Amino acid sequence: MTLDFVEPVVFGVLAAGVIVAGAAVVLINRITAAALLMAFTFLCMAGMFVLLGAETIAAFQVLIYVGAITVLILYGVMFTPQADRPYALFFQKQTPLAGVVVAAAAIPVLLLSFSFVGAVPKPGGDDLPALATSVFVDFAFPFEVASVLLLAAMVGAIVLVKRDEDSEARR
Amino acid sequence: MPDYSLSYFYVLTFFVVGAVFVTVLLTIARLVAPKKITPEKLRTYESGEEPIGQAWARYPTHFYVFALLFVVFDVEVIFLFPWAVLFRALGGPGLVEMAVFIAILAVGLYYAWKKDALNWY
Amino acid sequence: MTDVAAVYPEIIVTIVACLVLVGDTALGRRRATAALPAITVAGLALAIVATVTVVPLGHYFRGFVVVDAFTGFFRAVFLLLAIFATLVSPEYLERRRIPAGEYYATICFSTVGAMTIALSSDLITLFVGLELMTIPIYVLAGIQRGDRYSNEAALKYFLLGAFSSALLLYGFAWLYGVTRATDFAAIASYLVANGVASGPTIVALALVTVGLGFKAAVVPFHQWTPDAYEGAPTPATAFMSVGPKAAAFAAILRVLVGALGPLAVDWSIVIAVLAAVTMTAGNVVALAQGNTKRMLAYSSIAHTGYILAAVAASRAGVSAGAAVLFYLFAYGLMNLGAFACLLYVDLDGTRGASLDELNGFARREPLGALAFAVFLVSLTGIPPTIGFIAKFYVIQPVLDAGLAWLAVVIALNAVLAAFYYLRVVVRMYMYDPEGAVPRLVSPRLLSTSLGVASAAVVILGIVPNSLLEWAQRAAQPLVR
Repeated sequence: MTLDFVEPVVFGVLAAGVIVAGAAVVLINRITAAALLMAFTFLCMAGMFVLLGAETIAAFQVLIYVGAITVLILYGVMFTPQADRPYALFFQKQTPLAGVVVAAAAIPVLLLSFSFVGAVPKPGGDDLPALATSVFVDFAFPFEVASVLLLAAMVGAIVLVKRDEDSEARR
Repeated sequence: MPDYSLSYFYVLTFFVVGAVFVTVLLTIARLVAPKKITPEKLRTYESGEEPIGQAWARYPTHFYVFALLFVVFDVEVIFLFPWAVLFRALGGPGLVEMAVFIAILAVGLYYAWKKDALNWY
Repeated sequence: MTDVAAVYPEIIVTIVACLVLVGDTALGRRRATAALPAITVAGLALAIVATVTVVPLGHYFRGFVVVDAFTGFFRAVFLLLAIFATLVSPEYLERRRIPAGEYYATICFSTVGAMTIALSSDLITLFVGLELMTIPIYVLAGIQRGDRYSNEAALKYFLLGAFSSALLLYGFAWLYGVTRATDFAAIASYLVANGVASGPTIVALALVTVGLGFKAAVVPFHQWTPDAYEGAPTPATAFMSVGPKAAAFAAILRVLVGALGPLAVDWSIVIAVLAAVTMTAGNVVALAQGNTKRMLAYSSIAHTGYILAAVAASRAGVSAGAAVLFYLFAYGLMNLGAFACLLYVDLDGTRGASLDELNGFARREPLGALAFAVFLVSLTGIPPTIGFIAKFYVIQPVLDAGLAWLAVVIALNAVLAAFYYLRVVVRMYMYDPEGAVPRLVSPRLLSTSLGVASAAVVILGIVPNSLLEWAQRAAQPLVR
């Protein structure tokens, strides 16, 4: 039994999912729905990674983006006052001009990206050992710097949103 | 067809079956269920209390710290997975690397703790 | 083990940052005010000692780290600037109730990031370093939380900074797509072997140039600069106008001159035009500013243009690289000093003093005004200051590279800049203080460190040779 036709079909479905959900994120009026659609876009991307044989990256995509980043975005949504807007968040007067500018930049880049050939990754899976070796053996230094980066981001976030001790005392 | 694609074919099948199952059931419910809408029924459910204001309320910003700490430690876990799988192969140097990584983030946790950023109120 | 020894300065500064954070929570408020700056300065000074390398020059961590004269120069510059920024801050932080522990720790984190950029020999290391350098700076801009301008500064800086990081990363991805390498040397040798620039290489080059241009505040990617510099608390502005700028140029030198050096024919003319536009726009807009802090923000854009001119002249060889390094050192000293001089004036919020508020400043605060005047004269480029020597050394390689028109633009801009810099000096020395002049504060630590820095500006302007030789040695690794 050959199932080789499945792969292009799955790719098509995922690609459509990414594009349609991505456009909906920008166009939709309700911000919560936009956030959840974004999570769906991330999930479709995870599917793409599976198709490329990078199942570890796909798992990370689900953990980080579908899990953590979506939580962060939803928190952000909850802090925002909700007003019923008569218009979408983006796409206002400048739309046509922005469209022209983006197209002028994106189309040449898109065409050029077809020049990357001969590097089709073989779907194989079991990429975790290779990934772990490269992170912990080759990329040891950037890896440790990344932990300092996470620490700096954590301290920064706390100092920027922490309740003021002074205003707390006054209350 | 290699094993890899086959294993994910099962995952795909689950996705499809799940999606179809939910969609079909909800559609049936929508078609079959009686609909008699009254203002009382449309009100936000507050365990029998009278609802005050909209269902949508703003949360204080300091809860953001929890979301952010979650993301930071989620990223840390991402690094722990491949390390744990190859624990033996990476050996001593790998252990030291991960110890340094966790130690640096532990400073952040200590700081957050001491600065009362972890208090849920 | 030698791998670890190769990055001792970075390890020390990271430990200092952690110590400051722990000390901030463990010590009481009063003891922390005195102890935290002392710990920071002592630790950074120890890191400077550690930059005298105990390991032979070369590659470490499997080629992701390179220790050479270039690394050494930038490490020393970043650490010196961080020390200077720490010394001018304590009184202001206390006065404005800015959380001191986080402030110093943030400066240390940013310095680690900047040093990581300097020692990177790979796109991955460079990018992680760049993020570690900039993310603390966003925090620093917004650290005065009650102030709306500070919030605005942080938000604008963050949004455009994140945007530029994305562009840069996309450019790196294209670069990897073309060359299948992230190592600078491998990228350069691929480009040499494959001759002329192809379409994808140009896309990569454009994205990388724009991304780094944002970080260095090159016109037309500078829009965040005036608001971010004006809104940030003044000592933070002093640091963020020099540290990240020097780090951005370290990245530009490593990527454009190092990895993409074989494409210099393609980018040098673009960089030359950007340099001319940057210095002219910065100076012209600075002329129109009535607020000294905003004026210095625009003037820092103009100085980016001068440094970029030396980058554009990179085909002139070592002298161009040395000019960039020397200028960065000089700019760091005098620009940080100039912003710090605004700390004498006690104002509401984060905005800087207007020109009127500086009237008769010399009579009220003679030492501070003298230091300010020295920094402004040096920024103008008048001898005998380091600013003059720096401009002089930029013009030479620009002429050698056959960019005579750019040298003319530099000279014209220097004249233009003299007007608004010296206007401040005239206000300080020749005007009487008017009715509603702001209160002054004169903390001893601020005066001492500004005195030392302004003395260095003059002394290095008279005897620049050893510094220049150091810069030339440091620029050597860039030349292939």
